Amino acid sequence: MKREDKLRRVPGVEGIWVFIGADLAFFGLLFISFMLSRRDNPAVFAASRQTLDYHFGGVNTLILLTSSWFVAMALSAARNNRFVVVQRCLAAALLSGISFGVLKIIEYGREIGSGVSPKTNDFFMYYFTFTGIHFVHVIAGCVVLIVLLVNARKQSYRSNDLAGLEIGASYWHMVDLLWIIIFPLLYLLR
Amino acid sequence: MNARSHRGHPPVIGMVWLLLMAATLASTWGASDRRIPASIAAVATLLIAAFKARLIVLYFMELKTAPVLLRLYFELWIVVVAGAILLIYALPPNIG
Amino acid sequence: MMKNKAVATDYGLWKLMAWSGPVFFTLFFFMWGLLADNFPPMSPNLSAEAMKAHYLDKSLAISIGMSVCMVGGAFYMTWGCAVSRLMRRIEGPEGMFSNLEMMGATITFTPIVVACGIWLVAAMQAAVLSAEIIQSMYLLGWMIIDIAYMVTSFQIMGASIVFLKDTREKKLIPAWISWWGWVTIASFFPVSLIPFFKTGPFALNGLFNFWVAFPTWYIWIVAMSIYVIKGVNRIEIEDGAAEAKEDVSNAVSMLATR
Repeated sequence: MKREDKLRRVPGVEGIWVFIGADLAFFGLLFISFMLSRRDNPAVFAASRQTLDYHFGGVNTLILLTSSWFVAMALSAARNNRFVVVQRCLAAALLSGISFGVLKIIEYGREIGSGVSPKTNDFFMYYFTFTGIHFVHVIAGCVVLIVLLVNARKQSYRSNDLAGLEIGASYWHMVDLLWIIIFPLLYLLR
Repeated sequence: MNARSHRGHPPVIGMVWLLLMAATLASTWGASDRRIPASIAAVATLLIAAFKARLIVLYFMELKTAPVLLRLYFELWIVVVAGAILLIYALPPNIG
Repeated sequence: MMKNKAVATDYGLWKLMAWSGPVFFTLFFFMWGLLADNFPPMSPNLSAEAMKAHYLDKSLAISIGMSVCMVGGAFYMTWGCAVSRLMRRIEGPEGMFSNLEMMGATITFTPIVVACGIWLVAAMQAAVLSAEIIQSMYLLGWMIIDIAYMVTSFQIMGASIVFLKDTREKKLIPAWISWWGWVTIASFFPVSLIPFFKTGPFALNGLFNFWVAFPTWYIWIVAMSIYVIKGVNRIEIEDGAAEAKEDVSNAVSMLATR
């Protein structure tokens, strides 16, 4: 038991896992409610899904995964007190996060330009609310990354003081994790 | 010691990232191929998504080395979400 | 040590105010939820006639429920004062967040009392008002009580920030409650969608905007209430210990000067 305790540890602080756990539970409910609604209107959902351009969602998945990877690399560098690498990785993660947002806005622009809105039908209601709520998470995540970057410039994160960086990293991975489910659910599921 | 040295080890997370990218390419541009029957593509896409989610939870979020209950919650979340989606997908359409 | 009784902490009153949290959440559960038949709330998708029929049918129950809630809602304010005072013990008398929490709790009462008042009149006047007016009053109450969430978000934000800063080895309010506060704040934002959806998870009676957002807040109130009551007890003990220590050191120094 003692040995277990030494090896196993909670990343960041316990509280961030309360937040992430609840956020994921909420999204879980929303995913199920989407599927139930899809079951009620299969034709509308199929036709609407086909108007989405999955290349956008796919590229954005790659961007977000890469961003997550940069954050994981930043954490690993901070554990070894390699401060310049931490900053570079966080900056790269932030740039990726912003790219996700820019691409998503372009995609929204095209969709709204083609005449769809959350009012069009239930599919688009779910599409815009899910991706919209996720987008708010991305914006919040970019703010978190900016805070991490500012602190990293002051070399605040060292091998013995990583809680702040781990909290931010865990949140950013959650944003990634949510998209990993949202993307196939909305764009790919035939 | 073993668990600790694996946590956030750059070669390991690098491998995880490569796997995640490959899985995304497979599900986005592979399974969407029209020649693959819809139901097979759907199941494959969801299983790949669950696999990716688990990689993120275990290696990026570092829950592989977290206390068992914490890890269990997130692993269960993936199972429940993917399971529920698949289950509802498998149900006949509800056109009333 | 001569202590001025006029400025001494009134722990009894403080505890009484802390207990107004449980009074608030119990009252709302029974009077607003069960008696006035808000579990689940009427769908905004119902026809005006169906809404009028609902108010006619439940006129007395809704009238009693809403008028009691208009009175009992004020317990959220008194509870907010007790929370605020506990926060001041952590952030000091000059802290801003204890003010923010107290104002947030107080103003949270406003949309509650206005919305319940509107629903009360709809129930009282159900027989003489047109169905469209009843429907509009029903929706008006919901828009006011729901979309005023930011005031409550500020209250919860203040409390979460301060209680997380608590440096006691065992925090007065456990960290998970403060983090649950952040969850609550996050769950409120999608409530802004209620004007736009009559069905689905983001309608006012929807899976998310009713069944997630409200219970999330409710859990925060219940958990916070329990630990605020415990917290006041702990402060009383801490103060007592500090005073006893002071008395001893005074006695020692008095003996030394002899």
